[in-house]
Amino acid sequence: MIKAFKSYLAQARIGFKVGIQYRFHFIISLITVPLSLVIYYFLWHSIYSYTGQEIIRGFTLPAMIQYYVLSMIVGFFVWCDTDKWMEQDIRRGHIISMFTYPMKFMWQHLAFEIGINSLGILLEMIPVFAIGFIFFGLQVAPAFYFIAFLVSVVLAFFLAFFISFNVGLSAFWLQKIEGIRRVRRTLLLFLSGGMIPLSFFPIWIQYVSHFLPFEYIRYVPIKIYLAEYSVIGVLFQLGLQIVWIILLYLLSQFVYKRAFKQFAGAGV
Amino acid sequence: MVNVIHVKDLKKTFTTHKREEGIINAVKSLFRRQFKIKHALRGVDFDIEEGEIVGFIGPNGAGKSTTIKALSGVLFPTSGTVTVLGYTPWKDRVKYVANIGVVFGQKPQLHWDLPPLDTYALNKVVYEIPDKDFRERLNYMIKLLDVEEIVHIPTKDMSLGERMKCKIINALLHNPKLVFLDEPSIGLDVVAKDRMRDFILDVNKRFKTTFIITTHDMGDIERLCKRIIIINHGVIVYDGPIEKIKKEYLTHKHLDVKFNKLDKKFRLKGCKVISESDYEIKLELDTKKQNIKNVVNHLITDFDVADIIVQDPPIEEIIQKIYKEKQGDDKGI
Repeated sequence: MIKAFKSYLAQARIGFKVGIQYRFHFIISLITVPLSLVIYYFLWHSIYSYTGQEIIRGFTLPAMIQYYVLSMIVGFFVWCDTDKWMEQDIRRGHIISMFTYPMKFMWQHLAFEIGINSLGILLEMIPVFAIGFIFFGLQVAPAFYFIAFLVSVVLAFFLAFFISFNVGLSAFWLQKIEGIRRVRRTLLLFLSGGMIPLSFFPIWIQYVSHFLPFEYIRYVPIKIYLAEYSVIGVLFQLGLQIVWIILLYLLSQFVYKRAFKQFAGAGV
Repeated sequence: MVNVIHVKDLKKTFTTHKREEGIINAVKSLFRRQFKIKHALRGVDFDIEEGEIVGFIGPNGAGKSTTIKALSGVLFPTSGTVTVLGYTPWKDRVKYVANIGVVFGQKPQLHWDLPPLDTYALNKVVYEIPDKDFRERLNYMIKLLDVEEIVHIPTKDMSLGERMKCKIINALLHNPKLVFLDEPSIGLDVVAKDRMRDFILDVNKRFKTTFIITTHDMGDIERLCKRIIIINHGVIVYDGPIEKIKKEYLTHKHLDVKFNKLDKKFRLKGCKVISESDYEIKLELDTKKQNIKNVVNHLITDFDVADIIVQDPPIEEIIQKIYKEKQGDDKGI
């Protein structure tokens, strides 16, 4: 058990190092993130003054800006390219070496992703929090909600990972999964509330979205930070996140067995 | 002697899609696929003992890779038994592969974006290599393969040969009992090939490591292997000492001789002239009838020679000969 843990920790370190290789990507996002926040600010500022309303769909203008700051912070946590790595491995043939390596396939990917994201969290999340507090009126959340937010955002990462991993598994049959990956990204962007808060969508979409995993990746953690749930409500939402993680994990195990069978049966 | 590998009646059948060429057929195949059954392995048997270096050869599509994949746990065979180091490779994969090392010459194996040293450090933890052993082995391998500088640069920036050497280290660092080398000399220059071969022989001697090598390079086979297994069309056509093959089938050498000027006819006992021009002749030498030394001597003393290349016939030719003989035997029965 300890031995396995050490192995996956070492694998996470590899992810961290790969992250460092692409550090410019992170550093550049420190410029692009404030820039896009400025754009969102002016966009919503003009929407609010045009409509003349103080509150739109439950959001005041400062709350709306806070929403976007938080959305970006959560975004660093839940960024997950596992499906891209998997597609690349399968097409370049690296996949066979992963199967001759004494690590469990899914955990190997998960550890890698944790490594690469922890670098992102260090380099991006903390500065963006600071930028949010100083320039964009981000409020400090009450201690309980702040801690719940951190828990929720970690759970959101696992959710995002399992969705991405399941999508990636399809490459065992399809080889090329660019299209599916794009659908995954788009669905995630819209239905997680990354583009605009979910309260802007028609009621039926909001309703359906409760039964999909996407809103638990971004919308729910943000609303926890903004203290929009009661204490019980927060625990309930965290519970739902865990249920989704378990469901997607089980699905991934089910699909993975078949994917390996497909791979080892065809022997390509 | 300890048996490392036991393979009995191994069979593998694939179903592949067949498609005629051309765009119309490509579109047709979207709707109606034609299936084709391919017998990659038709009943393969062999045993390999500890400390052997076995050459596993055969033409393209003969079933070499399929066998290696079944042995390394990434292929489910259709039927048959395989026992390697007491394991059935495709069951309990994670535990089994900790005991073997694999080099796939044509496939990436190191982290693309990172220097090999990072991958090695990962291996140290994953394979639980003690500190001292790790450092000792790494230094020894780095020195022998001459990659002191190279292990510090990201894999993506390396040449094919450099990458190959680093992959070999990667596969051997945990001192596995059994190593599969699939085309290990691809991309290596003559000097590097030599180093690689010395290295394998040394590791084999020191640790009694068992090696299975698939290759198209006769040089690898001759230097490294005492025993070869030749596979063709999914069956083993030869399994035995390489000396026997050499004596019975490597009876000819090919000579490619270039001249500054060829002013007279070349005729010598045991030499067959295949092609001839003013500046070049190609010869086939029967080593039973004529000594290679005599031929070269004769060429150098009596002709204005610019260059001589001596080659063994390609492996495909030998297999063809064995195959023909076998068919003859079958008809005889």
